[in-house]
Amino acid sequence: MSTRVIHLPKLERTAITSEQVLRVVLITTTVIVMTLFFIMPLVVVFVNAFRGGLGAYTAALSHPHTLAAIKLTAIAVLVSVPLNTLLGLGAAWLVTRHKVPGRSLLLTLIDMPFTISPIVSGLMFVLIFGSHSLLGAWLIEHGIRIVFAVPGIILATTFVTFPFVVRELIPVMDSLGSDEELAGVSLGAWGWTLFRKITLPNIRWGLLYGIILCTARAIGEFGAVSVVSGHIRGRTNTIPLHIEVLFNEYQTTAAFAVASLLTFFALVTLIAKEIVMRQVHRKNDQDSSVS
Amino acid sequence: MSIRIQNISKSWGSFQALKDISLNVNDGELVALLGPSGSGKTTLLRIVAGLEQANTGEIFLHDVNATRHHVRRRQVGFVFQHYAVFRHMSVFENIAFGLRVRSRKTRPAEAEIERRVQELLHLVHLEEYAQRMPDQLSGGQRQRVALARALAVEPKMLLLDEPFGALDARVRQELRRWLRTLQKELGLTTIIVTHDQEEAMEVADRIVIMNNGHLEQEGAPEVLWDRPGSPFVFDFLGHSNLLTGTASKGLAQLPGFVVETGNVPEGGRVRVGLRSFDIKVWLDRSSPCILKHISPFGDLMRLQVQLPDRSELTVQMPRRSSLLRGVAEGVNVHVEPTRAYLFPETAGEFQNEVVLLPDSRLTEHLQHTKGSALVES
Repeated sequence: MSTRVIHLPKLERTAITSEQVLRVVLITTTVIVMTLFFIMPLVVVFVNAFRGGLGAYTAALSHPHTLAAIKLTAIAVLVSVPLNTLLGLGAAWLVTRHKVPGRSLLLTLIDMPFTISPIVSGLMFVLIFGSHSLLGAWLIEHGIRIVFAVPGIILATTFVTFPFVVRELIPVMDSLGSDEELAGVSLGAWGWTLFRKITLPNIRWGLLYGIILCTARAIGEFGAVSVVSGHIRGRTNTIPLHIEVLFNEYQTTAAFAVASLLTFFALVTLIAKEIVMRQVHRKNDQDSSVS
Repeated sequence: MSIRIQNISKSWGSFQALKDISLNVNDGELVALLGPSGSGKTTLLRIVAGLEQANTGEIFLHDVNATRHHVRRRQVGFVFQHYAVFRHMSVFENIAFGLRVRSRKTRPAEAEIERRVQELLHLVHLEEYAQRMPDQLSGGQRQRVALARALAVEPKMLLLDEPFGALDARVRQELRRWLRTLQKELGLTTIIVTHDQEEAMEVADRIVIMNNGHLEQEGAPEVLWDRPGSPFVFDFLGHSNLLTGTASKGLAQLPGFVVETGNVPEGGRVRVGLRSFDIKVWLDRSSPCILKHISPFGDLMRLQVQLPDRSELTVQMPRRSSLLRGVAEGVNVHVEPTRAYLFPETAGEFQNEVVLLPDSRLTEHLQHTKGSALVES
């Protein structure tokens, strides 16, 4: 008995030691990778942005072209995000609340903007609405420019960011089931009342999470917008496109100053996302403890 | 309000959920739709409610064709298996919901809503829980909230879809007795869907047994027990043993014992249904049947008897029956049915039933075992 008692701690200690070594190695690797790939670039952005001092920084931000780019991005986001929220709600409702034939095909189509390279999406719009297509030529004849103009940028942004809201809503609405809504209907509620009083309160955190992701992506969208924009300075350049132009013209400080703006948005998004995520989890925990 | 279901059929793709169902529910009646899962009972209930549309057939509510009426117009109180209580609203708000969503013209004043909700809270014994959220309630309490919520809009009929299915056995029993009393008090026409035959027996005035999308048999509980229309109905009510034999000289030879076949034509194949409590066994060393297992349950004794073809027969006898003297696991026992349900096979299908009560051999045996006839009923 007693020899066993003496041997046991010894065995335990060697086990812990090798585990500790492994742990230290893993943690160190993670920290190095994180620093190299995530923290360093962040620092570099801000250091370079302020290299020319605060004056140069504010000058870069208040340049008319920068302001125009900010304005255009704001327009693109303010149109595409609400649009995708509505479309997303509609699509999620269709997929989860109706026995639609070809459900899996519909889900695949919803994912398409994710799987297609943004450049290809952009080219697609140029082919559809450009002056070489019948539709595009007809539109231009009637004074409506889509490609190389603001509508094209909005269209491309909307297309690329479409899946975010739907993708977030489908699992939430699937797991909720339709019983509460049907109960609402049997009690006399319908349409907007039903949505506002029963569906929306149940999906609000999932919806908000989707909107945040959609907004973040809409602000930063580069590929598709780059193709349809035509890079007309002060007119069809969004923030990311403007940064590229500045960077290519060796205006490094200005490029990083504007980039710091995007980085700042990204950080805000991350924090908002984290807060919403916690709400979603808290709700899920409650629900699972209930049933 | 009376409900008339006429020739309702429903299919999804190639799957036929309901096949030409017709059924009447009288005003104030409580009817149970009973059947295994996938028998179409929930689909039928949802079609009556208007939550689902039938492919063909019609629904009459109070003799008015309501087939095309929207759920809201049908004035049904629907209760779901998983409660479907609005999880972000308090108990009070849940019950008030149906009143609050009414158009401005028909909506009661706030004081009236308050009064009605209090009344319903009292009815479902949840007065103290008005401000609780659903996640602070037990399953039974949540289902009572759902019921109060359905009653708040003064429905013309109550449709319950496995309302107690997700609750544990004791709460379930309590709630169904309470529901029964409440329903009689309110006089509300009610259809309840259940797969639990005990629940249906206890609650319903009339039971409709469904199987594979068609209506198998309907009737009062005692009718279903005493005159089952098919082997399915016989089997579904429980305590059943189903065997197959061939009629020969007025008897069907089953493994280990015989039953009389009454007017089943000579040479006809017949399914024989034996309720576990309609069989007696006693010690008989010459019998080929062996007692495999015996266990007491209250004042009953449950026995598993292995027949010569290795199939098993479930038997239930009074625990203190004198017939069980000397009976223990492993002994050979004589099997004597006191009541059998015969389903003769005609053109590949089993139909009709003949009930017979051969008790001659039992009395004979009891006379043999001196004096013990006094004990056994």
